[in-house]
Amino acid sequence: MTCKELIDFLNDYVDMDLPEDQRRAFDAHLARCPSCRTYLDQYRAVSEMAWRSMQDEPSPLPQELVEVILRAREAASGR
Amino acid sequence: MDRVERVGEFVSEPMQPERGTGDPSGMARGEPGVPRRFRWRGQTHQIVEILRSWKSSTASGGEMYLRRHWHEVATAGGFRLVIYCERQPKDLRGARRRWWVYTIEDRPPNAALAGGERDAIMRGMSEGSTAESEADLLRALRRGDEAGYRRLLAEQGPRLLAVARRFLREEADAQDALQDAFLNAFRGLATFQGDSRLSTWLHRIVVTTCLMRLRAKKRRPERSIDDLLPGFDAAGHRLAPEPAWRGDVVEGAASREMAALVRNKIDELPDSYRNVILLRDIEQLDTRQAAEALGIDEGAVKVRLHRARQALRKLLDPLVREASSR
Repeated sequence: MTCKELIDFLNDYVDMDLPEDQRRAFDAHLARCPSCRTYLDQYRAVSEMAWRSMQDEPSPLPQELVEVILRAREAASGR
Repeated sequence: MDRVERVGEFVSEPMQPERGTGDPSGMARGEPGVPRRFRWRGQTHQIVEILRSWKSSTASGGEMYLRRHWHEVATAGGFRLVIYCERQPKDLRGARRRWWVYTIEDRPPNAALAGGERDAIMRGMSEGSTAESEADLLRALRRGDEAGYRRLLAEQGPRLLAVARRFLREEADAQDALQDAFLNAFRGLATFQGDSRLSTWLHRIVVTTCLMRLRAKKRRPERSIDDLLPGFDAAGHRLAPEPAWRGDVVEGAASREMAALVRNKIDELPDSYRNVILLRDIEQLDTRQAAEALGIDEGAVKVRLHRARQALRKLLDPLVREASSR
């Protein structure tokens, strides 16, 4: 297996979607290729970093928006 | 990434264990001790019972992996939560253990409400997000009870506005999308079968509404991301070795400053790639759900997500290196 073949199917490896024989080939390549191990680590870290970066604590809805939505609902229901 | 079956309301919010309150029996086994007290959503919570515990880890193969210690706990305030602690890989020096509230399995009455909203609900109908109270809420909504609509907005609105803000860069757009989504949901209430939780159903409507809004915006042709993908020689070997990132980069991304920088980099991705990252890695939809939301097949979602993660890795690389050199 080459580095390119490994990278091409890295998402399947991470998601554990690879058949067992291919997974073993991946593991064998990773065991001897520090560069691909580093890439795999970073690939996983990217997903976590993206998720972490978007975890702001939700803030309450602006009251004005609440009232706008409720008025729009009333208008839509013909009241 | 490891995932657990979600039964309760998915929140995935950080919690801060109170120092010195970790369960010593767990720590004696070398595991993160479940904190007896922790801060979450601006309040201190006390764990009165650990209902069950389990572990999960990502697939091994590289040197780095994340192991999570999961616990379903009951709090003195009436919450039943699934929480987890991530144990950082050994090659990330100086890493801290981080705790997260993953799902709310049950909650005390009115827990998500505050102030005037809570008073309004107390006058009418209320309970938390249990199936029984959700059925109550649905009945109230279907008969047009305004207190029910206020309760829905108070309970679900903040989380859903956060979702809209992630997709749409402008606050006004996010609020408009949320309004459209709620009105769509109100119209669909009559046909909502209860096959999923109300919160899940609303989440999908908000996501769909945001994606439609993005599609409707006039866009320039998308830039190619080929230059952000790794290069190989004719034999399939890497053109340049990848230097490792130093330090706890994942923890670093949670800091306010770094989070903003990471979000900016996600925003640099063309929409088709940014959206798939948002759907899969942020909103945690599975491949099939993401495919439905985007109107493409599952194979295309997987390819696009893979390219998006690789491109984002390249965009984040200088940021991470600069941060670790400080």
